[in-house]
Amino acid sequence: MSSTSGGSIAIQLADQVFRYLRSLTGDAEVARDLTQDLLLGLHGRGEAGPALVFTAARNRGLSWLRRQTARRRHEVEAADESALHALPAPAGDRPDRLLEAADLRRDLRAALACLSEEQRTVFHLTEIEGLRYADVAAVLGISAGTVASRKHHAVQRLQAELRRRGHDT
Amino acid sequence: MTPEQWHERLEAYLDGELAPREAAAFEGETAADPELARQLAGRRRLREAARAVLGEGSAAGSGRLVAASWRRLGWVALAAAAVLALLLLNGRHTGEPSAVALVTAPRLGEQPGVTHELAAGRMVLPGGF
Repeated sequence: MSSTSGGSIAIQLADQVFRYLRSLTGDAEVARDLTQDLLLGLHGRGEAGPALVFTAARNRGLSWLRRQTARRRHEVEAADESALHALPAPAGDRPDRLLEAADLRRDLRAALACLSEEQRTVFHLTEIEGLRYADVAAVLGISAGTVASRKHHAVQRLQAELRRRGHDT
Repeated sequence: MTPEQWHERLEAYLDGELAPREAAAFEGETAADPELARQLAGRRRLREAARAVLGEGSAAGSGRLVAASWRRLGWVALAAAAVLALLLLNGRHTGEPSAVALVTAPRLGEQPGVTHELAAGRMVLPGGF
């Protein structure tokens, strides 16, 4: 796989990159667009491995998140404050709730959004995509030991968030 | 071993990061302690749920990704053809052939790069998300 061109490996990893970017951005449509940009951007490049592809994906995701943060700040400043009070309260008043599929989907995504970007990246790439700690370490520019620590804290946070929403984890 | 260290070890075990001997030792310790076994079982449930929720879906989105790539390349080809036409018209107007007009506009199906991937079938991604 290490002798594969950047474009080819990105295509092989397209689904994984899409799912990672969906976890990172919380938006499937944005994740698709970013994945498409990545595939086109990496095409014709030299040799690439999973770490390089996911690093490029993360950079695109972070750029989008930064733009979103700036846009939201602008929108909040312009919004009527009374509208903010109309936002629905988070679900948390239903104890002993079973892991219903629809609830779990929503709550797991919400819990994931509570993680730091780095924790989200570590959790998704190791837990869902099965990347080795060494590859994730290369994506984030940290040591494999730090990846292990981040993973532990990400899981603890996720479990706490899910419990807060009434799930038995 | 502190609880934090044990949890890090649990994560490494589930992620396949422990050496076989370490993994066997972890399994033995966990099997001998009901509380650790309970925590491991709960952690496995979370993993299954996370994979079911976050591991679904594909980049293709019912072929939208491939279609969008074609669309984008189509615009490039269209723009190249428009520039070529203008240059040809300009050359006819002045009575002298334009050097640039000798360049052949690439046909959509002959776009280098990604289109070749498409032609080879390597970019045809599974749909159904």
